[in-house]
Amino acid sequence: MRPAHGETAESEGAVPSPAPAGNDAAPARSDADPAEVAGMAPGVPVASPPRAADEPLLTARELCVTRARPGADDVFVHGVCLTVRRHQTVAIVGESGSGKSLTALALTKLTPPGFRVTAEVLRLDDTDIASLPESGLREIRGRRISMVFQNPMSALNPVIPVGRQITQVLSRHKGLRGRRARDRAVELLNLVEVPDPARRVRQYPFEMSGGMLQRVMIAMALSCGPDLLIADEPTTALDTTLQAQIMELLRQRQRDLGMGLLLISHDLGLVASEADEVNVMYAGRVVEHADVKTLFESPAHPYTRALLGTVREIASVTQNDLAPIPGAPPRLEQPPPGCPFAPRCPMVLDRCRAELPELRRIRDSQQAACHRAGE
Amino acid sequence: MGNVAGLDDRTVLEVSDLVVSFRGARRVGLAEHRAVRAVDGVSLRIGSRETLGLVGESGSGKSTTARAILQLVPARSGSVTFEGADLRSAGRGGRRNLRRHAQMIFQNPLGSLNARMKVGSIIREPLDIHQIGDRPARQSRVQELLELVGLPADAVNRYPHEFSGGQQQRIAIARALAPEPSLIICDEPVAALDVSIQAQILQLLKDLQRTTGVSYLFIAHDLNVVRHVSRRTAIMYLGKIVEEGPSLALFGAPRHPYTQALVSAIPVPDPSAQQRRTVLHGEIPNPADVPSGCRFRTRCRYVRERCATEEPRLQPASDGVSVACHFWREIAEGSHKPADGIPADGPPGSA
Repeated sequence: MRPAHGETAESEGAVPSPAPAGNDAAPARSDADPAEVAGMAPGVPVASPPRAADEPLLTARELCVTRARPGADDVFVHGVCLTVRRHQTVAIVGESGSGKSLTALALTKLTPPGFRVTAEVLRLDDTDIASLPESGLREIRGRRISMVFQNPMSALNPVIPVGRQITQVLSRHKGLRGRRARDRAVELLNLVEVPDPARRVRQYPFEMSGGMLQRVMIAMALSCGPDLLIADEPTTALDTTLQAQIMELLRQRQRDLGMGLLLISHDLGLVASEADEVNVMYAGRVVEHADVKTLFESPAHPYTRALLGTVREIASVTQNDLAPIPGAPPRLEQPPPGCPFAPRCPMVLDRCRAELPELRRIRDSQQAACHRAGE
Repeated sequence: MGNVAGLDDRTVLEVSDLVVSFRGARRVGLAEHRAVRAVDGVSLRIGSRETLGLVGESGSGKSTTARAILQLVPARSGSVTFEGADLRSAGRGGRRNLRRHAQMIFQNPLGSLNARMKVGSIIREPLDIHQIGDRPARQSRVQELLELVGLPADAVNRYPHEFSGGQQQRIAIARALAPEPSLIICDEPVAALDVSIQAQILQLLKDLQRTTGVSYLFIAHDLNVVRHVSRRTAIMYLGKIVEEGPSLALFGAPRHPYTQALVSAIPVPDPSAQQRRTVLHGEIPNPADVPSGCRFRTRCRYVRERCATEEPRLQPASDGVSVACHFWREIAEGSHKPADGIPADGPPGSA
């Protein structure tokens, strides 16, 4: 986005931190006390200088995820563009197989073996993620970009007490060891409102409920005061009342730490209440991007419209018959020619079956990939 | 209950005072086994062509209730009357009738379908077991069922894994419908499906109810879904029903503080809806160690001393809704204010 910053990726530690001017630019590591900083291993880069809230924190352009195959490569994520700012919550909405989770993993190049991530631009603040070697990526993951997954039970190691799983992160990224790391783990669990944290740190994942485990995951993800938190369906496996608790917690910590939050979800209700901006994904592409108000008030893509219509019908007080979207999404590796939504679209034209619509501007805060959007 | 009995409203299922208990796990240092009463005095009634929604958090006992109705786990006490026959005294004939006319579909369709059987055999299996029709009749019934649930005719010769999640749920529904049941227990039937597929399956279930007259016990944690399909809804908490009644009245003006919290936590697909959330603190208590008095009191905003000593009974409130709360009327009138802060969680019986 700003090529002038392109070469500073590895030298961020040397950049003197000027006092932040913007009032929104909360220090990224407000939770770091001097003792901790002193205890950090030499050579670990310190935080990049806080920036004004309106500067992009994460920028991804033409992000693609492909898998090599004899003949032609399978493309799973097609040229996704994303921007997340500090204090901002950006959502990616889509159904299973839309490529939303793969997109999230691609941001820190955590895609499964065999997949390849390419991007025109992929940067976090001044750090060019696209060109980082694996060692540089490891410095970013869990420290500046961390993730919370849908199923905490499978994301945590079942044979290690949860406290030690947190201290491992602290030791890896902050050089904290022994007593000090343990105390910090207890403190972190306390922050995410785990009752009796001193006892809980010694417990194994199977001894805790799903809601508690998700709190542990969040404590771990926030342990290094990340710039960006990627939350992939963070509450899908939880009961509704716990969902409200966990989202409240995430909101609060986002405010305190000034994080950007990338929320991956299939739940339009959750997105409506949490997100500032929304990307709707279908068959590996962003088919609509808009600020949350515009998206819910005047969705431009027929897929968004149909999805929203269905959700509203189900959520309405009446028990009228539903008009579900017919058929199912295409497989990512076998998209139909033309618009991927054409086979299910009520507004389909001959043109849609032949020509892939590009994401284009509909109004100031809205883009859609549809030949007929804005008609 | 019987609050919404129409004239020719036949009762398909009546459950009264059902109790299911399990022996608690042995804990080191504890001499006694504490019994876990997973279902503690549940009463339900489902009429013909009716859908009763059963809502509750994980651990509330809703799935155990379903399993006890189908006699898959033994009930400790209480009765289950299916199509007029009390299953305690019905003997083998009655249980056989239950096995045929009460069916179940599950959250994870792939897990409930035999991966080594072709779809045709899966759907035909209940017909074989109950010896319904001869061979050609069963074959044509399978074709009829496939069409009914919207699957292609050539599905008979394919395996479950070749289908998407939504189609697998259609296979499970076709199998459940095969022996012409009067009741299908749907345990989270759409929780694992995408929104657009959810809508397809919900509409299919509604259409099938219209054409076959089947009743549903619809278990789910998604209140939007339950409100959409159920004529009546029961809310379960820690083994007990805390509120029950016509869905419109119940969701429109929830009376029990727990239902209020659940309803306020329903995500609304509208960013300008400024939701006033009643965030419920804490988690559902351990069923092996239930609070004294009202089971919800440890998380209730309106808790009073009386709640710790006296268990509220489910009793008729208004608009056909029954509620188990000492103070529902005062809460509705606004004369009963929330207690300050989070309710204290004292040892059971200490008050």
